[in-house]
Amino acid sequence: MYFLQSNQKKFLTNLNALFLTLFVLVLVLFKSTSGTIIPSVFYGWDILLPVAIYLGQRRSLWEGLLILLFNGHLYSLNSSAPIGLFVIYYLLFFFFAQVVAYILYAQTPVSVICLLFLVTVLSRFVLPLSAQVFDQSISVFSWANWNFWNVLLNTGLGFLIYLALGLLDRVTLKVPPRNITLGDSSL
Amino acid sequence: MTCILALYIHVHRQGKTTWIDNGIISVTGGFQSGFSSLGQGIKKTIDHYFLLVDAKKRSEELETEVNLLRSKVISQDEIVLENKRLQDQLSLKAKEKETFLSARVVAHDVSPDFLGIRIDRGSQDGVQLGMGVIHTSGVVGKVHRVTRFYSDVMTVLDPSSNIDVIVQRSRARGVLSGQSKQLSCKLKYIDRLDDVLVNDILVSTDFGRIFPKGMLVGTVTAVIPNSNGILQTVAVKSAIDIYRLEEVFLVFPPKQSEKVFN
Repeated sequence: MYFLQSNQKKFLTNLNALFLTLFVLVLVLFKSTSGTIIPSVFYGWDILLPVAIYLGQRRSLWEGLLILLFNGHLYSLNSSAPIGLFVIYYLLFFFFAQVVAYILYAQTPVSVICLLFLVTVLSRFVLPLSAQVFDQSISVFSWANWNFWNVLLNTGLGFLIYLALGLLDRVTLKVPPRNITLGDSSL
Repeated sequence: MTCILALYIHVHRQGKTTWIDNGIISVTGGFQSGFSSLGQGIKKTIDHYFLLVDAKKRSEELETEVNLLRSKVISQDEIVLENKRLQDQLSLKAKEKETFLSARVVAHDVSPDFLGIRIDRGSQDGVQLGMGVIHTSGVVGKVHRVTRFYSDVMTVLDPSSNIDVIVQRSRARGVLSGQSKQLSCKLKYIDRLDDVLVNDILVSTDFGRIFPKGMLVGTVTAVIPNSNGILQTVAVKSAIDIYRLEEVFLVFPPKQSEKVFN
């Protein structure tokens, strides 16, 4: 991207939110249409959870909020859950990630994986509790909430999505390129 | 912020959609229709050309089953004729029949905690909220969101779904609700004294004229009596496998089917 003019770079950076939404849309289309071909062990994959955490950590409050509200609504329109449930559910995790980003430096790969693991476990209880607001009867203390495979799956795939979002930010110049400092002359 | 969220939820209550939602669903539905055709094509190719190892053995088993079913059909034809003759003698009013409209499944629910499907029929085909959806293997669910070209169906496996059913053998009545995480269902409001056994078959009722009466819904897999309460816990395996559904049928109630199909 070094060949671009500064106004072109700025334009590309402004399109970041659009590219991010397109990325989520591709994931939504893949998840909703691949049910017949992917093995059943992958059915428990939650697409938007790592996106909510990423936005919470790497975006300002209002920018992240706007992107997440739109993507949460897009997600809701592709689910039989009442519209609004997923918006509230992902907003809770977005605020959680904002707080974590404020008090902890959790941006190394290991800390991101730990954070995603914690959030995945928490999500098994937060969703049923959020669903109570909409009169939905998802059991909070069901043994299915302790499906360890689902937690591992969401942590692993969540980390890959997190990395992909980081790459998207670098490609669209949302984050400044890393400065490469040359070694001293003695080397 | 809270007010905006409250307004947003209020606008979308009970499956209502705005013109923006209809636009988004039309665009995503179009893509989903294309991708699901591609996915089903890939699956059919794999199933038909690569996984033919046990085909001959399976064919022989099915041939035996067909012969058995053929003899059963013949004896049932006799019962049907006898039933009709007796109805004529008693001058019972002939029941109006429902009409069916086929639809293709274009997408599954994107969330792992809810189990809905999207079909390629919408309000322009006469689809309305609350309509029943069935498959040749059993009851699928009810329409819960309608746009012009696509509709979303809440399947029997969804935790929000509630369907009136009866046990075929004992005629005990209950409400079937989904448990998405286990991909199974539970039968609610079944009295402790009601006669329900493992392997009992559950069929639909004509309550609300949503589904055809006597359609297969599921099979009882476990009955756990509650020694303290007045109800018992009944686990049910649904007759349908939602990830294998390709085509379903919308059930038009008798009066509405006259309007749509004329």
